[in-house]
Amino acid sequence: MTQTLSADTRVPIRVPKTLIIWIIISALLVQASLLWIALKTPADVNLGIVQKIFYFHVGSAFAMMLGLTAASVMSLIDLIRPSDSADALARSFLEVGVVFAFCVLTSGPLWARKSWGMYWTWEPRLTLVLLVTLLAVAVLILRMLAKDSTIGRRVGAAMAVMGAPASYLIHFAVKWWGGNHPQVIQGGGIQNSEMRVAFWLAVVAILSSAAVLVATRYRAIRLQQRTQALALRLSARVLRRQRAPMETS
Amino acid sequence: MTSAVVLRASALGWAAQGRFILLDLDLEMRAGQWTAISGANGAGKTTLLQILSGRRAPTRGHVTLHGATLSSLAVHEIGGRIAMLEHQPGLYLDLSGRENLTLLNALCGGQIDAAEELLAQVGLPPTSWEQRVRLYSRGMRQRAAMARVVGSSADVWLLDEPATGLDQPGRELLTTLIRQATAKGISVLMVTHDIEMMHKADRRLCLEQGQLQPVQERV
Amino acid sequence: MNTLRLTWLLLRKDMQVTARSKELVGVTLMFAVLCVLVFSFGFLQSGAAAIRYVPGVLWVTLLFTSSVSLLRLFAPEEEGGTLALVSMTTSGSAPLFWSKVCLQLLFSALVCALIVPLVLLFFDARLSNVGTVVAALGLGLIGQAVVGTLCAALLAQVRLKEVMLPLILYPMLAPLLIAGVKVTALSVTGVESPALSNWLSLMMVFDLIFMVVSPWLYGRATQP
Repeated sequence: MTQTLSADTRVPIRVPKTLIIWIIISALLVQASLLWIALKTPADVNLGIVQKIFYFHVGSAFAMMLGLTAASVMSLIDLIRPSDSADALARSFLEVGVVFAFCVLTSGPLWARKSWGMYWTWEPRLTLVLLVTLLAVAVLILRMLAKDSTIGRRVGAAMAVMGAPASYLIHFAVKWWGGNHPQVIQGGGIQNSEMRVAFWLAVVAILSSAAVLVATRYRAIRLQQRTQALALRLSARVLRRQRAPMETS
Repeated sequence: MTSAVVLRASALGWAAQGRFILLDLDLEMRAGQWTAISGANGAGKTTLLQILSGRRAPTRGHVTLHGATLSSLAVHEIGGRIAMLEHQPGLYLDLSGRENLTLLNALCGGQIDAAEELLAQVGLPPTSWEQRVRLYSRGMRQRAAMARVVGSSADVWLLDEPATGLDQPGRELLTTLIRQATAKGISVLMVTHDIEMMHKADRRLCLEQGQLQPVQERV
Repeated sequence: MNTLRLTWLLLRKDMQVTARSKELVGVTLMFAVLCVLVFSFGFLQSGAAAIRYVPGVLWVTLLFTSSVSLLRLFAPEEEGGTLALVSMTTSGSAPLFWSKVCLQLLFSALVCALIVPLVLLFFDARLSNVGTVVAALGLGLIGQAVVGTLCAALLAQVRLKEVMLPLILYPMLAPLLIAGVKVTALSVTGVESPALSNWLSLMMVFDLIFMVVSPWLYGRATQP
């Protein structure tokens, strides 16, 4: 797996207009969902105002799941057919997945305190999220600690691929381990139509923001790769110029 | 000297930490030729040998063995044709010299000569054959590692500072072994800082600024 | 067939090497015993409910000890610089990988043979269905050997590998740990439960998946 060292000129240096528009739309969506949740939805009968964390909690969980799954898939692609763009995508998805995993892990206990009376309980989904987060963070650290970037890339990709079936099995293991998570969606728990709108608005807003983060991070990594390739090209030129007087003498 | 080219490196480049260590490096190794390479510390000699032996993929360019690029060959095909002596002996320290060679022989399907014969050839006394390599001195390890190279079926030898730790008889033995090999048509490439060893070679090259240059003879 | 022969040759070599550095076996076994002891200090109070801790102590000890031996798994190759040599002599990386898996399996089976009676003795516990527990231990050991060997091999080139190995390994082995503890708990308390076969099949699926995925990833990630 050699690094691709041709400077990829398909990475535009200017921020593309579509990305800017997309960032603005995501920001507006987040604002809209916040306003909707604050003003339009009623406070929950049992849980009171804390229940409103739920809207962002579920959205973050979706973003985390999608991000980490995509990271595993891109890592697999990078192992089969190595390319700088697959590597950059795998890294972006992994990083954004971890960010939202932390969102889930902060909003979850806050909700749990009010709903179950304690911050943490060894409930399957909580345990799953915690284990998967730890695994994803470990893979992230692994990439940084490798003695050279090619090795880090391969080892990180291999571990990300391993993580996918492992998470799947962890899911079953912790599920049978026993527990009680509110089955809000499956049970048709949202009766209130304002709440339903708030829920889907929040999910769309968060997924859109997550996608924007992935796109921005991807662009940054691609530009970094391009810079490195250009620096390498420059180093080749410098080396050749240093040689020139030696060869003529 | 118009024997066939066995191993050829074309426009080789290798970069580390964003800087090219080797660049536009060309090398032809012909059958029966003994080439010696010298160069300053950190010039990339060891890396060059690792690339030539298929242990490392080059950043640019490619290496061909009998006309086929290394990346297109299966690893065991490369392993059978190219023998390499690295800084580390390539021996299990907790096995004896004889056990090491026997294991290697078994692994490659009995292609190499009998272990005892090889160990005698590199001048290791029979008393040391059953000793663990861990107990060997630097020079003895080097000799045992050389036995591994001598016994291989390879037609290219890549030797990274083979004279390190060897006493005077050891160096003479090394020269004899290489001469015997080149007489059989094996192409030998050695990296060395040793002036005496340099002068015994057929061809002297210097690795400088990422390329191989013929050494200017000073009289 | 050839792969099988090469694997056996490499495994025999590893057993020879391990037999010669007896210290490693001794030290690892001692570590396992100490682990059990430390857990006993941590959990045992008046002895009444001691049985509840048997599964946990047993499986966590096995997990901790496995990472100790995994860190030394590729040491003979690293010391002598034979890693590239071996994979270039044998056709590819499969023989080396499987020989190391077998070595780790033998090593942890040895630890197991010492620890299981010891824990039962210390905590005065009795297993109601030995067969199931043995099956769970077998499946657990196979799983940790396959996943552990891959992690140990890939992390060889990473700084702080002594810390990183558990960091990667423990979350991945969580399903085996949970299933193993559950099966052992059911056996120690003598409860017959239909869940037993569920847990065993989970472990089996885990082993099967990683027996396919790990060697492939090992080959992919270690090629030049």
